Amino acid sequence: MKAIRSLALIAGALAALAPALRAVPGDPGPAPKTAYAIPVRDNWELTGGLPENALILSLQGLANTDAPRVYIDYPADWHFHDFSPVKQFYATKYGVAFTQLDTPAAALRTLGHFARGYVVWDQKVRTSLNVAFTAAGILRAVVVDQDLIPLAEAQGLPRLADFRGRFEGWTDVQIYQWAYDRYWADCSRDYLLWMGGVEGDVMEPGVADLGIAFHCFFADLSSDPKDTAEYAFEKRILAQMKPGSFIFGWHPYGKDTEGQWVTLASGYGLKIIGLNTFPNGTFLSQIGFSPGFRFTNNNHVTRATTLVAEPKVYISLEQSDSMGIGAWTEPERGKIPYDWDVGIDGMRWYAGVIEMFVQDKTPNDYFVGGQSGYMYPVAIPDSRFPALMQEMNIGMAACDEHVVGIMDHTRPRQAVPVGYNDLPKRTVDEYYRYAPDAIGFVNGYAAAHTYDLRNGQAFMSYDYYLDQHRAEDDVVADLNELMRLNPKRPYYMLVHVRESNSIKRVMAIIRRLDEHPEVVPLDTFLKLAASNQTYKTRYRDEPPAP
Amino acid sequence: MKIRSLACLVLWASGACCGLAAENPGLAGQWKLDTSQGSSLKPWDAEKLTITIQGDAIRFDRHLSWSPDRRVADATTLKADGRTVTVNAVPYWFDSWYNNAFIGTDHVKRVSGEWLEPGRVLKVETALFLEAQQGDTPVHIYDEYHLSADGRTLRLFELRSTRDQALSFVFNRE
Repeated sequence: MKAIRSLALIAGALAALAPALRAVPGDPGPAPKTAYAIPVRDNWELTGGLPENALILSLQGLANTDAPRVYIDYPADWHFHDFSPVKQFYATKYGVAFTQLDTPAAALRTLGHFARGYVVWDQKVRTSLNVAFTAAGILRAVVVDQDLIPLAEAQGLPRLADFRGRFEGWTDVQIYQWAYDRYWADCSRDYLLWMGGVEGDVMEPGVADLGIAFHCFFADLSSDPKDTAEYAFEKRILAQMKPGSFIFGWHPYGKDTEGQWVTLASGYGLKIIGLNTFPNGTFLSQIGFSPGFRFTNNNHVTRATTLVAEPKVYISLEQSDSMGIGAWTEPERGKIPYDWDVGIDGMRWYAGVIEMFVQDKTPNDYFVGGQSGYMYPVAIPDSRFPALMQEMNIGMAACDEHVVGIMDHTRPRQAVPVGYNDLPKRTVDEYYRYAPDAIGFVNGYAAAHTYDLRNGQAFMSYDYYLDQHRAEDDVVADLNELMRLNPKRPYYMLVHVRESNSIKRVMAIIRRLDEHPEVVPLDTFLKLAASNQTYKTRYRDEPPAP
Repeated sequence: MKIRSLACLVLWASGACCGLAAENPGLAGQWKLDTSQGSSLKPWDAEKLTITIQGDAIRFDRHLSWSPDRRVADATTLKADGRTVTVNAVPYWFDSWYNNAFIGTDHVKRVSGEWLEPGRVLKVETALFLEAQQGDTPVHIYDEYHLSADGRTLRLFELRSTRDQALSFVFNRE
């Protein structure tokens, strides 16, 4: 009886402690004085470097649950390569002293006390690693494969779960159903982890630390309605998330499309923070701006400014997809006006990176705001839209941003890639309604045909998508042709520069254009466009009512 | 003996020629774009073209694809008599994805054609409107299809009135 009572007391104490273990990531605070740095291997194969990397990522998630203690050094060519200098930035600007832990053994020796045990995933069943990540967050465990068990046990860690052999021959739905039955009740309803991206015998789970710290359910179910069982299961999970919650990660390339996935998530009012490779989320998101730093933009106009467009061609060049994976660090930056997409969520999830970028801005760099993350406004439920717009306005004001960027791709089933990024009038109406103080709006990813002008706010779409693989001669011919297809002057040519294009290449293209257009920053571009509407007011083509 | 050999040679040559002719149906047939040659078709990764010829009537059926989930098709008909203008419905304009050009608001193109060299060189002219940021703009497209001597290769040379860059595409018979 006493034993039972003691057990109950211990269980009660653990339950009481559990909330304290809930992650602080996403709530930026001051930088730590010290932190550990651990390298991962430049190999993400299931039977290669992934087991050790997964162990380190899980350890990072556990150690960083309530403080930024561990920073992972990623390979130089990691997708978010522009984030790499931030470690040095933390050292010099914030005074963080990093201690290097060069091996998994050293990392476990130093940080193993953050784990209560270990869980074993099955190298023969890739999906078992996602279950192991889920279990790691719930059980406070490091993730190991069979070969790393001795290393975990050498630190005195007990085995908390073992998935070897359990899922062999099971479908993903069966595996995730098992994980759901076992762990879902204890998983976060504020954060979800989608471990998609590359498929096959490779996984790049850079964002796993956030998922573990937040007690997330990990999955990579298909958002393609054709995959009936996976699609239904995903909808069941999404429907249980709280309004305004986040999904970290990315869709599985082998199962569905980005459009299908984001449309589905947006339909539940959820925002996505990409990608599955997003690095050091638990570290970056717990450190705010350095003391005294203020996010400022290079504003050229205000909402009230009136400009007059001349009869010529104006170009504005915007690089979206954030600054972390693009051309920000190139030496040519600053030589021509360039617009950079910096969504409002960056301040919350990687303030140090934003500060590092922003403090380095040149007079020719202009930041564009908007509801960041991946969120398709057309799919967002009406009940969620006002709150998202309010959040956007507050975030943009804090970032000194005054132009709203919009991307929507809610027609994933449409094979014809024409009009894909257009917005229906009702969505345009909503932006005008909820963002009356913005200088203007820009829409699209690929080119689109949504244009409007109301109350001095131009609503423009990208006229061109600058594919990094398209030959320079072809791009020049394309842009010159666009000037012919739009013969009135002024003509406002908004170009989406895919992030993998170098600024040098873009400058070379601009130099070769027939009419020598004037390159202007986006706020100026929108004010010019508001001064003389040569564009046709247009929205997404809607099918006729039945 | 020599005469007999010569006769055989003539017979063999004529037979070969007849055989070639039998195997060379002109432009008609199924063609696959050789993306390693000519202008870029991007964003499309592949094009299959079927040409059907019945007298003066010619029909082009195109199947374009881009990644597994983007497959589109269109059809163009014309009369190769140098006079007739055939109005073709155009739900979507696929040839200028990067240029943000939609088919004009009338959703048609007017097509005429003429053999410049019967069975081998076909001229096709298209008039249509393309819709861009400022609305509809008239565009004229001049195409020449050239069949190789062995009938295995089809070359398309294209000029668009709005574009100063000539385009060329090479197709191989399927």
